[in-house]
Amino acid sequence: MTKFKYSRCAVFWICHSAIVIGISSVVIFSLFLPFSCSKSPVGFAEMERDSLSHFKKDITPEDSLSFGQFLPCGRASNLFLGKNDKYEARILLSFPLIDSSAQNITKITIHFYTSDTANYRFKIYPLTTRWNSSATWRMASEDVQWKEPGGDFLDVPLAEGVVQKDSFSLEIPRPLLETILHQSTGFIILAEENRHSFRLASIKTSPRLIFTYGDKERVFLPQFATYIVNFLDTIPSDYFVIGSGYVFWTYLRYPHPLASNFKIAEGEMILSLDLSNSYFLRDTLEVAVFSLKDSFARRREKTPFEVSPRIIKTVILPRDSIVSIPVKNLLVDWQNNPEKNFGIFLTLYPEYRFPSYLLLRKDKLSFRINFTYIPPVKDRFP
Amino acid sequence: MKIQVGLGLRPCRAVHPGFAVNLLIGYSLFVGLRPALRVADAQSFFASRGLGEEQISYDALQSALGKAFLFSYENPSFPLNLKSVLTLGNINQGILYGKEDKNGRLLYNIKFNYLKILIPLPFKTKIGLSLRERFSQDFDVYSETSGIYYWHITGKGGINSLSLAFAKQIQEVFSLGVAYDYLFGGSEEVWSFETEEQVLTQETIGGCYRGGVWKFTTLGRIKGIQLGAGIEFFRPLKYIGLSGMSGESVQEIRLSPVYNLGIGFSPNEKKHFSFGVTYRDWRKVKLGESIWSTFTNGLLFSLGFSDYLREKYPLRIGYCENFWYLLSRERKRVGESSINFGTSVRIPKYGFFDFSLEIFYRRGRYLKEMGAKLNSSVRFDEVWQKRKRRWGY
Repeated sequence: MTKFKYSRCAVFWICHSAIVIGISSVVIFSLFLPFSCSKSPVGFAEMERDSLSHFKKDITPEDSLSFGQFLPCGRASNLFLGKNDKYEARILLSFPLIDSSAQNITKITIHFYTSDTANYRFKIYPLTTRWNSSATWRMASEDVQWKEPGGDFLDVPLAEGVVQKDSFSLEIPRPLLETILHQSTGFIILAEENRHSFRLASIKTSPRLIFTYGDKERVFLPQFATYIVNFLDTIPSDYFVIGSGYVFWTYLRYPHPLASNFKIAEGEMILSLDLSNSYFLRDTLEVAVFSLKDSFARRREKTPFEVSPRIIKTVILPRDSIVSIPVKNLLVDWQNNPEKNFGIFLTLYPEYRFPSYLLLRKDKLSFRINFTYIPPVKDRFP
Repeated sequence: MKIQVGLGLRPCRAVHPGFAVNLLIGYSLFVGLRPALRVADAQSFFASRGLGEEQISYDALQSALGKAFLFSYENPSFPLNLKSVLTLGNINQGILYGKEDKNGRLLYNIKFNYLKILIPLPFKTKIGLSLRERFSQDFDVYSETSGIYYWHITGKGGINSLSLAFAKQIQEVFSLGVAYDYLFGGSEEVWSFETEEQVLTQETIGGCYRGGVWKFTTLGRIKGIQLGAGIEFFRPLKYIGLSGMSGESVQEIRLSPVYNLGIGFSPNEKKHFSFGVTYRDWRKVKLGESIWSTFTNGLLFSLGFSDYLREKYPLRIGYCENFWYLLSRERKRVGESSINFGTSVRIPKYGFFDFSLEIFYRRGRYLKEMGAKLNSSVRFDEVWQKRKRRWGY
């Protein structure tokens, strides 16, 4: 009984205390809630921890390298076709026809779905060299070169047509069936040159090859589908360049930014774009910054780099002629691990996406990294 | 279940589980709920200097009477006659408006800051155990905007004391007390460099404190007059700094003694006057081997008066003039004037709820602060007598 009373009283007074404190807290706090956002500089000087200014600094690259190279586009979601004064793009297709019988086939049709139409006439040829999705303009696969850059094919047109909107079909003559089944390693689609067309045609990666057997059909989806692209233009020497499709990479190495006892608050790299001489098919492009893992002065184009980009910056075209890329984390890494500062490379991302390039001016503004830093803060004891 | 407390000289007073519950609840509040209760901001804009803002009000009773140390339960000799176990806990709420030039800013703070247990022992002795915040280093300041940037610095923490006190009453009129306060705590400052849109970088610096204080006090009563005196000797206070940039550093702070004097007068059972002085000669406080120029000699005067306007409801009024141990940045002593009011509500059979409201004005040369503090204390001091009757002790 006694225990019960004590515990009951204890609970009562605890609850009572909690209620009193709670109510008074809520009342007082709510009264002054409107003032809680105030950021008036009261009491700062009273701290007397020396001057707490911030400083700005900028650094420019001490070494650079810009070059273009062929890159496999087997992972691209669209296949590009066309030939203008900038690029020539060809499509490679391979269908799994191994167990197909030539008997009873009455009709051969190839069906395409377009995502971006451009006025190109094209022809389809049978490829003769074994290739895979790593094919580029130079290479049929990782370790086999084309005999002729751009693909080895029989000069026997299987079909020809014009790129049309949404979807279109072409019929391959029945007599060429033997060639398709036994003499080819796939199809290559070549566009006729059209210097008036700025755009390249874009075809979805799911064309269909249809064998018709009387009133029945057999549909084949591609085993491999890729595009190979060659760059036909010349980059002026007073520009760096970044690009995709046929990729352009720009390597930059910056000096050590700052002693490690200072703290970098923010940093940005400025790129000055010459959009009038650049080539882009979309109104947004993504510029990626990768960290290099070795000295590019020594390894040149073979310099290893980190697999994932450190920074990706979306550029809206043609609005952004000046691009600011936030590089604070990169600077902090260089500051903390100066021995790992091998530099960065810039490219358009993803690189297999579609042929584009942006010219970067080599002016005073471009490639400059501006950053803000603060000195070490002082403890309350001098 | 009974828990035995005593020196083993004779059958001890039995401690009811309720006492242990109270202790546990109090400790839980202090340790567990305290961070949760700190809903906003900070205490004083001066708390970023020196050792921070000294917490001179412990509970509502002491605060309402002008904050005299010698007439508080922190004085080991007080009260002269302790008849029953006393447990006391206090919650402090404060609002503060700071003004510097044309800028003003408001802070709010709530925390559980004091827990005390006093136990009477045989031979007119008593022991006390307390936990309280001694210096607060809670602050929250913004710098002026430079370009688009500004600093936002928040400090949390302070120096606490865990005190073990012992006192011996001589005759009915005199008491001697000694206490050892173990000083401990830590502080953490977060320096944020910000723009309106985002925090650009943050650096956290901090450290922990270790130290101790010996307190010797005496309290005497002749008729209606109470006289008291005390002295506090500080052992070197160590600050172990843990800065992200510079690693660990140890600083030793040597604080000079603090002297307390007090006089009280009770013309009758209801009326009580008190006057207290605290002096700390901290002009030559040493940080390592050099004198820390932020410190000066601090002086506190307090006046208190209590009376019963109605039979069960005391009214307490106090006034305190506190010249801080800190110099402001213009090397002017920080001064603080406060007027205090308080009362108690009796908890039948248990003790009291004590409340005090303090209105204060604090001034450096450029920085001024004004605000109010509300102390809410729960004082259990009759529990033991009831138990004795019921259980036949």
